[in-house]
Amino acid sequence: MAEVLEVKNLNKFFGKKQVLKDVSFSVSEGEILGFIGPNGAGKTTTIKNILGLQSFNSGEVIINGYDIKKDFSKAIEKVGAIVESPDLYMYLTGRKNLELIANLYKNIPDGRVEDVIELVGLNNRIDDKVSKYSLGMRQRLGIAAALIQSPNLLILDEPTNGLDPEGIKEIRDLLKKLVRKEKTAVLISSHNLLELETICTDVCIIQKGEIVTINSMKEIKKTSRENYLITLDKTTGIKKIFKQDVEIVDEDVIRLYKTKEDIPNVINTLIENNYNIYEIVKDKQSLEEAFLSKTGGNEID
Amino acid sequence: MKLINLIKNELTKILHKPSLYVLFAIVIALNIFVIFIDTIAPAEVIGMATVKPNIKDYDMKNEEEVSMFIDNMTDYDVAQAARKYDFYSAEYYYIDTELVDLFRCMNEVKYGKVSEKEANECKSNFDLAMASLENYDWKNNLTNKKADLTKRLQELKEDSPTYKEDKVVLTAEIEVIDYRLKNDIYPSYKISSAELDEWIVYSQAYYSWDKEDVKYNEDELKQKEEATKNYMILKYKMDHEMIKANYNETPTDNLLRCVKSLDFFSLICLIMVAGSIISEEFNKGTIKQLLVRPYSRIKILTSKIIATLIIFLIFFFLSNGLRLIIDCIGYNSFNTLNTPVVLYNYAKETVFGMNIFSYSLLCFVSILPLYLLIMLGVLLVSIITTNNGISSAVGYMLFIASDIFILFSNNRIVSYLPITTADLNPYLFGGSSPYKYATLGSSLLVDITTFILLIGLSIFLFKKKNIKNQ
Ligand SMILES: Nc1ncnc2c1ncn2[C@@H]1O[C@H](COP(=O)(O)OP(=O)(O)OP(=O)(O)O)[C@@H](O)[C@H]1O
Ligand SMILES: [Mg+2]
Repeated sequence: MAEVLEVKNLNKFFGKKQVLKDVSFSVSEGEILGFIGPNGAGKTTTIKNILGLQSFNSGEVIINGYDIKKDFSKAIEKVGAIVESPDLYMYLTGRKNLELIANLYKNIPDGRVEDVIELVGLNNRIDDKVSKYSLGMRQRLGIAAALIQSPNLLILDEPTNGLDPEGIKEIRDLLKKLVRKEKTAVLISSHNLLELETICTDVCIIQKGEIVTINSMKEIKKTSRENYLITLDKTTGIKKIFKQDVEIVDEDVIRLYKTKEDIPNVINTLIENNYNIYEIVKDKQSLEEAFLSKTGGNEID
Repeated sequence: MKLINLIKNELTKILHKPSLYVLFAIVIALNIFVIFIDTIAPAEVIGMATVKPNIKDYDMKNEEEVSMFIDNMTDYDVAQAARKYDFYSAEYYYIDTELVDLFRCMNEVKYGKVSEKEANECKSNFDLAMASLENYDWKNNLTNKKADLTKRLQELKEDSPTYKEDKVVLTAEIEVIDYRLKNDIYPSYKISSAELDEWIVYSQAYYSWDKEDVKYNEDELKQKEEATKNYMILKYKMDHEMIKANYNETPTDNLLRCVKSLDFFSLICLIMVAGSIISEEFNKGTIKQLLVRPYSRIKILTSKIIATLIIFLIFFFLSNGLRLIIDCIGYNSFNTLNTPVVLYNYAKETVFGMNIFSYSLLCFVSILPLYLLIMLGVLLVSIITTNNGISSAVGYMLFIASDIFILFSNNRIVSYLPITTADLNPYLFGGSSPYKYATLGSSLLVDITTFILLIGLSIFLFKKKNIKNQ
């Protein structure tokens, strides 16, 4: 697979404070790299450096074979990006915003603006001023704007920021559709791995300006054992039944390390042993915990 | 990737904001308002004495108070008599300038101590004047006056110490009367009439410098040059019969004022655009959308500078063009556009006529460096501070500075400041700068250096600019 983006030993100082320490990673064709880190880890800074919006002290950023510092125009030509928030011109309509961006590239096929509007599902509101858009609609317009020149690298900095769960799901679905249709390499940052769990192929974790781990999503999922929280009327004798797979969380809650396929059997076993089952939930924290165990906690310095 | 696309985008963005249209509407509305005031209620009428003085307010035993009362009463009577006529009419002017003494005399008869003989003479003169007003014949009036002046001119004694000066004044007065009779310009408060009257003053001033044996210093030479210029320009206009009866130069005067010095409204437009075109994008974060496109930062900055200039030029030409048309309609004087502007060539000491539009363009191009200087200053500050308020304030400060420094025109440093040298208008046709030490060469040198510095610094800082977190 060809590498679309290569970041090599990026170092960045703000004054004396080093915000990025030897950050290196790469994104190749068809890859969706989740760029995960807590607040202040350096995600936005990394992305700004990649895009040439800030200058770095040392290191290299290569996009499609071009060095961002030496060959800015060529390097940036096939990159679509949202940094921090999709800041578009509020006093213009959504369509005008997209047209302005389309003007800046050569060889944009006719109807491309219509296509991206269709893709992000903004057809009905595209002729309204952006100042009348909701945050979710603005995020969609931002993504549409990033897609106009059919980039082969999409860089999205917290595109789900400020969205409700429904909005986050919509963005996720949009990205899935997009990667399927346009086969773009994607670098997407978030402080919440869970949000990206279902769409990322790879994960890169950054903590205090340092890359902690880079791994495929599959590997990460393996290390985090799937588990379920079950609320029962009692927990006595439960250890005898499930042995090392169980952990007593509370006087009536247990954590069971089993997979989805095991659940029917688990229920039968519990009923046979006269337990009343009140609730079974998949523990949403699983992946997050795996991630936090790697990054060693979420504190901001 | 073409720069033109960036420029088009910048123009689109500016033209989609309402602020410039609002400014434009204000400029036009203000212009119409001024014409309205000018034609409906001339300023001089408003200033006239309309309140009748009450005799009880004055101590009529005190001689000073009596004369004060008579003065005020005369003002009132003149106003009452004049207001029966149109402000621009011959009668109004005649009453307001020539009959004042008669009105005073009548009041003196009434309230003061006047001998019977004087009183009778006064009354008969007054009645005569009033009768002539009934059917006022200004030509007859001027013909009589001319005969009187001619007689005085012939009677001038060559050995009188004021012979030369008296001769100049009398001749000039006769020339004005001849011109009036020939071109049907009655004495009035009309602009054409007022311009004619300047002939007497200008002639007097011109000949007063005409002393061969005197060595003039620099300041005096400048005054002499100014007097010569005024005299020769008016002479040219009279020789070519360019001053006409129904002739109102207000439209072209307004236009020339706007092209020869900074046009305030166009300047507001320029500062508004230059102050926001960079800072607003940084403040709202939209600059990121621009900087991640395949264009170098130099191109992006260049496109913004060019777009600012284009908008300024459009605003300047549209607003001044429209104002000229409105003025011509308002003052009913489209014919002034055909009349050439009379100009003085300082180097050759000659006078020539030039088409009003060519001259306006020439003046505008000459002051363009000053606009550019202010624009580049505002842009530089807005790159540094990304603050629209501060950068606009700097723009207006530069504007004020361009006006205020004239007070220090004898200062060497002030003569070489970019803000004082950027207006090249004074150098047109061999003229010289009002700043003592400034020459065309030094001004150009300062201007070009300043532009290179400002542009260079702007590019350097814009390239270095990091995008801060929101
Ligand atoms: N202009 C600046 N001057 C000084 N320090 C800065 C500047 N910009 C960012 N930082 C610091 O750099 C570090 C990384 O910031 P960055 O915005 O990259 O974090 P992030 O991972 O994007 O966080 P978040 O999830 O909150 O968006 C932070 O400690 C921040 O305080
Ligand atoms: Mg961030």
